[in-house]
Amino acid sequence: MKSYLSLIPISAKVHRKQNRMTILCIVLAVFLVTAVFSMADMGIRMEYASAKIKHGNWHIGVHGISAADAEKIASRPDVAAVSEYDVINYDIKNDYYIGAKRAAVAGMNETFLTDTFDYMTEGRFPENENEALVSENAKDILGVKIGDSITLKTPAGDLEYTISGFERDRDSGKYDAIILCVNMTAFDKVRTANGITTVPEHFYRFNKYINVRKAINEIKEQFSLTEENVSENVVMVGLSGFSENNVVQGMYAVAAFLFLLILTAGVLMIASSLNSNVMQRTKFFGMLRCTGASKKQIKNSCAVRLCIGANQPFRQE
Amino acid sequence: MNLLEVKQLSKTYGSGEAAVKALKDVSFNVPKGEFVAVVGESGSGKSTLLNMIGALDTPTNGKVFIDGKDIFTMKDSKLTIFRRRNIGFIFQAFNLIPELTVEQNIIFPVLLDYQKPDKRYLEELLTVLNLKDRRNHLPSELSGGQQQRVAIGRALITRPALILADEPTGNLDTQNSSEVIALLKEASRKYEQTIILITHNRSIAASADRVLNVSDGVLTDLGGVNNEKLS
Repeated sequence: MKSYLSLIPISAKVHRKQNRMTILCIVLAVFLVTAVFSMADMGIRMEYASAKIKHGNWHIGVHGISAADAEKIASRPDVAAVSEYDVINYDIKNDYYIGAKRAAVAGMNETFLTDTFDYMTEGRFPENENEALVSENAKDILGVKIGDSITLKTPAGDLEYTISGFERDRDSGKYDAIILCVNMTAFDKVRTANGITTVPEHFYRFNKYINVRKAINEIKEQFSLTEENVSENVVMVGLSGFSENNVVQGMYAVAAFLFLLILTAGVLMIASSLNSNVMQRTKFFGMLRCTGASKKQIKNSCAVRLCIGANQPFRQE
Repeated sequence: MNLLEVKQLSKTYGSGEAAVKALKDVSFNVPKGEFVAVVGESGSGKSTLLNMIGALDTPTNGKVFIDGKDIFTMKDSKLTIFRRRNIGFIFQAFNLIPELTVEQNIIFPVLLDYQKPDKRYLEELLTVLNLKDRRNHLPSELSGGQQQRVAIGRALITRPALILADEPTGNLDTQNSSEVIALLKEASRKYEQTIILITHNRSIAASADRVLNVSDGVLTDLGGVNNEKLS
């Protein structure tokens, strides 16, 4: 033995089994906590993905505002995406037909189909006024495919469109009708021709980690909006953590409690493993101090011990 | 010349109503080479006195001079080095490092001082302590008497001027106790070291050059070279 530090590897070798157990306990505690939180994160992500498909990827829908105001809201730095949507003959009571089937005409921007909702099943968004998406049921009813022409009969006259794609059946099956989806320019043409005055609804999605509740309240205040102007996507707002819904807030409380419980359990497991080690070490270092070791020599011993522990926690004896 | 001078040493543990005065204005001197026994009932302050002298604890008041140096005015790092080189402490519970062999335990204080052990002196110590055959054994493989001899060897290896022994025979039988005390006395004579030893054993106390009695924190001299009242 040439140096006092030679004691450390000798001691480490003798206590290897115990040190392995301590390290194993700490590693297991860390894995356990990580696994639980990862599963929770996965669960939330799955819920988020499911909610996006089922309820749409938006936080608030605003209607009854001017185009200028809609643009102002869209220009907010916390807004990630905005989509526009309007519909003519939603209740299928008026004389809009495609072939022999009644029809509704929906106007939207591309973001509505590619980001806010996942309706498109085939093809692409109609880029010009003469293109349209149609509901899937048109394939069976009319025997059409992408690239075919269809005619929309309106009270003001007929309009020809080329099919650019298909969207899944939303309410078309319920109402036994075909839905024709066009861009806003084409929609304005139909609307104007038929003397309809509707104002599109705007769907806004906020950025991640934004205080959605605060943003909604700011928008309501700034543009003097009421509950009738603003609809909330309860599920998406709930998943963002800022819902005011009582049931959702109850779930937040349970989630927070479980989070703290698991974190505390993990910390206690690690602390307990370290504590028993520290108590043993306290006696050991106390003995070294009584033998004449200085504080610096104790620190050096700890550093060497850490290096040995980091390099060889599970080396076979 | 006095190797050790203790002046008005006091130690109080705790505060307020729960305060315990373990030592009350203890003063005494010990010349070089003297073998002093400290006696007293349990809880009288004997171990506290030894811990103060050995700089293992700090007093509430008072001073301790070892070889003319006030040890409690030194910085911790300097005091540690001074203690390592000038004071050898023998504990009742041996306090050997269980992972080291007999030889490694004995030379450990020398290694802490970044020195190389004097092999001739080490062999001499092992012979005097009758541990030559056990030099490569671990403490767990030794009897109580042998372990205490290792502790004595560790205390002597740096050739300290002062040896403090806190009931070194407390955990030993009669025969081992006699052997340990004999070894200490021989070392004291041979290497001119001053020994202060705490004991409950009257016969061991009787074999000392001087006996100090500690009772309820107050120290009195029961007999020695100078028959003085000390506090």
